[in-house]
Amino acid sequence: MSDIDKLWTLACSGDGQAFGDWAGRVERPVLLSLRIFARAIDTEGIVQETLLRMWQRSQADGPTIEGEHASLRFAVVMARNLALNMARKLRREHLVQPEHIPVDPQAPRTDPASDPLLRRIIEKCIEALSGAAKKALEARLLRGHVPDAVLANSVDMTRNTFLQNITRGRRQLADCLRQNGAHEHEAFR
Amino acid sequence: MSPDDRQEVLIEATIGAHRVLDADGLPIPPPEWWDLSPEACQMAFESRMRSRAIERELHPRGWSTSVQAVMERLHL
Repeated sequence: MSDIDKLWTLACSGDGQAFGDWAGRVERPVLLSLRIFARAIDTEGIVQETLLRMWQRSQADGPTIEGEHASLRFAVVMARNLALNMARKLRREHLVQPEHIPVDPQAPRTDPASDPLLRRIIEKCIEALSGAAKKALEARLLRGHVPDAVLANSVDMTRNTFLQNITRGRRQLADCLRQNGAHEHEAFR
Repeated sequence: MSPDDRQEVLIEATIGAHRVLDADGLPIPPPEWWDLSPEACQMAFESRMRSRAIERELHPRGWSTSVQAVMERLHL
């Protein structure tokens, strides 16, 4: 049984932390599967809604999905259905790029495990950022689920200045990752 | 602010994981998302993907801010 399947089984027994760990492992392949919808819809909302519905399913039905990475496959199909419905609702189906649909949408790439070396490089690069850009980007990377207005206020910036500082910070971070040879890491593809 | 800088800020406003919910409880895009061209939406997607990878590495359990947003919605 894969790590993802073990975490899913634990989540189905009501273990919320295991569900969070499962979500952390499947989020990337789910998001990647939505690349074809990137021009048509807000994929962030679809990812979150998919994960939320997977929790609801885990509690309602238990571990009824069978096969290796079955929960991930199920989540990918659910995400694509939600995305398609959203594109239709917004009348933006024409912006979906079917040429980017994987040959076998049932076989998503699984997420690589965390890489300690990559983490050290990221931490080093963030540490090297300059004042306001560092404060803003750190706030967003660590607490980006909080409204920007709240985050901006916590670092004594207006929302617009906060956003400008994040973009500055991202550019500096990208340069540093490139200089350290980390920009082509699998996690970024 | 140059047009490129303005677009960069608009894109950045859509990369955060916070989403307001509509009457049906579904996440809705930030207001800035509607001002993005399809090409800019694609750029936002790629930037968001890179950001989530970094967030996962920085979180002790590997939870990106998207996962943290869901955990908060579920009160887990």
